[in-house]
Amino acid sequence: MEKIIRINMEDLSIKVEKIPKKYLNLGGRGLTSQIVADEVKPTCEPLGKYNKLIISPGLLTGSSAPSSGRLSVGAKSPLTGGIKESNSGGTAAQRLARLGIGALIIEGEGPKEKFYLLRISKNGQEILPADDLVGLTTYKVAHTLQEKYGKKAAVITIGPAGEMKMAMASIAITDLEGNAARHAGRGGLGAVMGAKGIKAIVLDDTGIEKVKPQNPEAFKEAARRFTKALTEHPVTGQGLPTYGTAVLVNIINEAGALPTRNFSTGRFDRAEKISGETMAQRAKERGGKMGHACHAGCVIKCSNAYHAENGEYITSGCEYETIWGFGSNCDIDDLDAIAQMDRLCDEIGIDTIETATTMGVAMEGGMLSFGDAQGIIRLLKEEILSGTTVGKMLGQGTAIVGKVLGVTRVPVVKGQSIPAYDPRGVKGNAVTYATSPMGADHTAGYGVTANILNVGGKVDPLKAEGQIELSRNLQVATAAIDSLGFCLFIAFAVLDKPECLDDIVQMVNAQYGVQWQVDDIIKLGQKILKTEIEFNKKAGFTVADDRLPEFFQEEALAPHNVVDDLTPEELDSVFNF
Amino acid sequence: MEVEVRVFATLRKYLNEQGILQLRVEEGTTIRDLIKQLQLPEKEITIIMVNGVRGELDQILESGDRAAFFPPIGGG
Repeated sequence: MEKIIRINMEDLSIKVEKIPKKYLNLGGRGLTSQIVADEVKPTCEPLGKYNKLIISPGLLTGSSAPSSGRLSVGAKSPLTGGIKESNSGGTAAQRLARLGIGALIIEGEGPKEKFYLLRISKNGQEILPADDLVGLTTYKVAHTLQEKYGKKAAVITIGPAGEMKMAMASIAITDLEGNAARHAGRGGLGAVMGAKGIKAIVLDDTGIEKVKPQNPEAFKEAARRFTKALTEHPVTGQGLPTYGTAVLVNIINEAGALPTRNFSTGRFDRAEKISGETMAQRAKERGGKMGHACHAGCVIKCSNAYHAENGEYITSGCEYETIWGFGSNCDIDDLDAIAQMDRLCDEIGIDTIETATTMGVAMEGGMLSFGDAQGIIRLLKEEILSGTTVGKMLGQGTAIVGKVLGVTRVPVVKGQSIPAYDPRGVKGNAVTYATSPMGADHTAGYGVTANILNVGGKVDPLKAEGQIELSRNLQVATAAIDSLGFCLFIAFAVLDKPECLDDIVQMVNAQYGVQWQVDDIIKLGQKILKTEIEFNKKAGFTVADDRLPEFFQEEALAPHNVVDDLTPEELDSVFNF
Repeated sequence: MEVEVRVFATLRKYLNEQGILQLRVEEGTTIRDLIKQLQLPEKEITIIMVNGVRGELDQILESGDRAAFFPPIGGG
């Protein structure tokens, strides 16, 4: 990917630059974080003129590597105030790669009250007024643009939340069906896109060939072996395509770490009703889909399409986090209502995790009762979507709503809310939540693997022992995987079969004619983390921000009656490389 | 003594639709014995929990224990 496309929103100019040599071995998160570190003032106002929105495909994206179509979006986050990489599936990343684009950089002061469409194709790039798209929800934008520019075009868009610059605004990306169901959700990057005045980006790679490797034979061999490893591993080859990520509801519940009623207990008595088993059963009965791929060339196909009882499509990509968040965390056991909430969040363009934890805190704070599903739907439709003052408050996320309502049980780190694994019950995740430069982020160092799933080892989730090393290794590996464009779920196979790292290295070498070793992947991950931590330091973060909220130390989580007992010294040793 | 068994995902086809069973077992029954008794395929069981914490095949069951079995699963 030899090009960087730089879009300045002050004069609406577009520059095509040759990618500098120093960026040649970077892609995805590695590239977005490096560009943010190089070009964005760490102390800048995230919605202001000095922030930049960087959009990058991974280093192997666009190639024939399996499950390699992920997109990275980077900026300074309006939610955390630190560096952010938000990762998504969908069809955009491969289009960018095939168009030869290593990164889109959107910079400068956004126009006041005006929104634009960025259109990129084989013939070049242009900025067009997007007045007809303003105020539209994401599915509508995607369908409108695909009507106009072709069903094969990929669409990146914000919803009304991004236009209103809400701190939990997401960036939506079309899936293979043309639905705006994939999201770069975490960290409010939709607000940055909105602040820059970009409503949508449409990418058309018609007439462009697939990205060809320098050494096709070697690439094909390595890709074949890697694909085999993915399809043969029981998690990636069978578990995920059959039950999807929602299969985690029952297992995390059994482990006593399923955050329930705003992180007040670890088991939900109606977990079965919102489980992957129930979802799979309904798909069978109602004509929904399991084993649904979010991008072309994915061999894992973990996602789903959820249909109503009458067979009508409700939503896609209704995943564990969303189901947990609106489910046990809000004391709701109605999967149909949760699917509706998923769809609403996707349409409005807000992160389902942040929205769900915000609702949990809102319930704790008395805005509505735990269990009130219709209450959540009303707040989504009538307050957030409509942009009322209450809606804008909710749109600022869990930490702010907690402050407004005087709640102290507020599950956030660095301003971003904690996802679907209680840190007291999964201490590997606790370390990641506390220390990741991304804020509370479960994918950044997914300790659940060794803590609960017996993948890549076994570490007791209820004890502090071994968790620092576990989180450290996972954070490094994840940063590297996020740069290559792979879906993080390849990790299930890679953690159990380290030879896969050789296959990955060989794919990179065959694609680019370089000579990476497995050690270079580790070094890449470490380098990215160091870059991100350095940015955060300059942005004003200290070790005081690498801590879990106080209530996790004070309140014991049932059923195991555990508290967070990680020491500051331990947490400060995570990045000792 | 009485124990409770829960199985999930693809293991349910070996037990029942709800995946829950209360049953009587002899004192000294291990997890492995229980799996054999229920005719569950041991090689399909990747994760064992007893009372919500990681269990082992050779672990001896106690009265009132809740044993849970999972096939290989993952997510995010």
